[in-house]
Amino acid sequence: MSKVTVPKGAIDAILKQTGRFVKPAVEPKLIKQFKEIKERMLSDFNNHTVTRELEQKTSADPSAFVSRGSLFGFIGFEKADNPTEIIREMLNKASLEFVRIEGKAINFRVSYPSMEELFLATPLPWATGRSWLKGIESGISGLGRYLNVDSADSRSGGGIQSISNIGGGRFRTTKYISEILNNFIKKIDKLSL
Amino acid sequence: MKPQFQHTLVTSFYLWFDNYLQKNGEAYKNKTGIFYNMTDDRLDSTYNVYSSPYKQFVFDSGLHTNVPSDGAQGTEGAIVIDRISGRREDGSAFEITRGTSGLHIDYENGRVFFTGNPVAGDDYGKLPGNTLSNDGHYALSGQFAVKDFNLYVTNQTEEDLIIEKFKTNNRFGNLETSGVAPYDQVLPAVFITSESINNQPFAFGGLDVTKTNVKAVVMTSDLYCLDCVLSMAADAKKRSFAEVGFADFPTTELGDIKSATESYHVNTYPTGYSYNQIETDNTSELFHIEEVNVSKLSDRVKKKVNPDIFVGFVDFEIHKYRRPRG
Repeated sequence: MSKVTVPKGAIDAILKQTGRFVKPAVEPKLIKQFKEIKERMLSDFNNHTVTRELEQKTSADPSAFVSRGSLFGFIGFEKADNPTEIIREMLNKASLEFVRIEGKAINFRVSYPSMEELFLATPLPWATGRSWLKGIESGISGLGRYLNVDSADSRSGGGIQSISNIGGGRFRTTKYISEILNNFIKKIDKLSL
Repeated sequence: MKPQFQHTLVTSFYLWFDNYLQKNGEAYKNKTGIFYNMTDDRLDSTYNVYSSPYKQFVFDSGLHTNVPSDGAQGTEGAIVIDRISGRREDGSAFEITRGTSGLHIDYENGRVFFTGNPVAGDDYGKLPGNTLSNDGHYALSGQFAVKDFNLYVTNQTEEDLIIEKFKTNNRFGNLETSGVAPYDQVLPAVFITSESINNQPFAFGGLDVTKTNVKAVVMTSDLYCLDCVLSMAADAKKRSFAEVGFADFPTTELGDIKSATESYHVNTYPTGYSYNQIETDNTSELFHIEEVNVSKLSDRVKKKVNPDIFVGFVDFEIHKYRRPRG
């Protein structure tokens, strides 16, 4: 059998065109897998106790995280606030984008919100430089309760109703967004065809 | 129990932050004033107590410059009080330096006290009064730098601090004609507390990074000063500060600087305490400020709980590379 030598330039030219043919076969599979991972992330978020309690607002009383009242009232949200919505929106924007094929490698880009971006989007109602989302994992002081003092203009309606009665409410930290995001990243790292 | 990492961290952070505000922000005011005769139930009757209208005094002599070689008090930078003076009934002046005639200076509480009569001699048996007039009494006076922000280590929660009605020890207002009460924490002040510690593996061989969250609550009646502290705190990100052992804290139980004459103190500062010197001597063991987050208490809460006080929060994340398991 005679040996055929393909010029390097020809190989390069073929490789350059590979993406055009491989992409239609690869992209739908990747997108399907990504969609499942993203849905799982959103499901983890929606079903997390913190999310559920915050969405039940003041009716989530007793709370698993504060010794008295609701988590929603403890943080100091107003009745009309939907604090989890912005997080859901940001997580929902997570996307996968095909970039190109380089040699044997298929490059695609996954975009998702960073922890810092999520923290910036979730200010505490009483100290806007701090993030309540970060505070869920690292600790939140009970100052939010002060926003609920005086029943007449109570913001969330679920707080304690007198200053003298405010002290003593303690917050129990829990893994929340970091765990959800880390699980998502681990699964993305394992994406395969 | 022996002092642990937590004690070293808090000691180091306290001394660094105190120096950082005073050195970089000139957060002190030099004052000249009378020390008023006070009573203190916590001290026995052999102590004669005289309190200035202000506290806390600056005790870092590294900020006190242009100190003459003849031992007189310097005039530039933050004046670290080390003497008091007065005038006897006969009009003659006297000056007493720290460590002589039983003089102790309580930098923490802005006061001085004597074990015994302060001006023994021709006035023996008479204690100084509270005025500078020559009416048969005489007063003690001195020059000192008072911190723009007192610094306290606390275990109180943020909400407890904010709801508590602290007295304000005004640095700008009218001249006070009485001494400030001892021991009470007064504003303007920064309250610091270490909230959580977490060790995470960093390198083979048992090296961990110990991450500590230190929180500071800044309380003042002056918005300008609050912004100064918050701005400086934010700029501290990525800085490092020296490790200072728990036993190296420079003041005694009486608020005075540890001197070599008190043999029960392990580490003393016979020539005065200087944070600059500590930084020079401790260049290998450092704490690193990885992250700083600053915020202010919203007006809505402020108005409800303490309308006259502005409150800021600083969250420091401090890293230290160490081998916690030996």
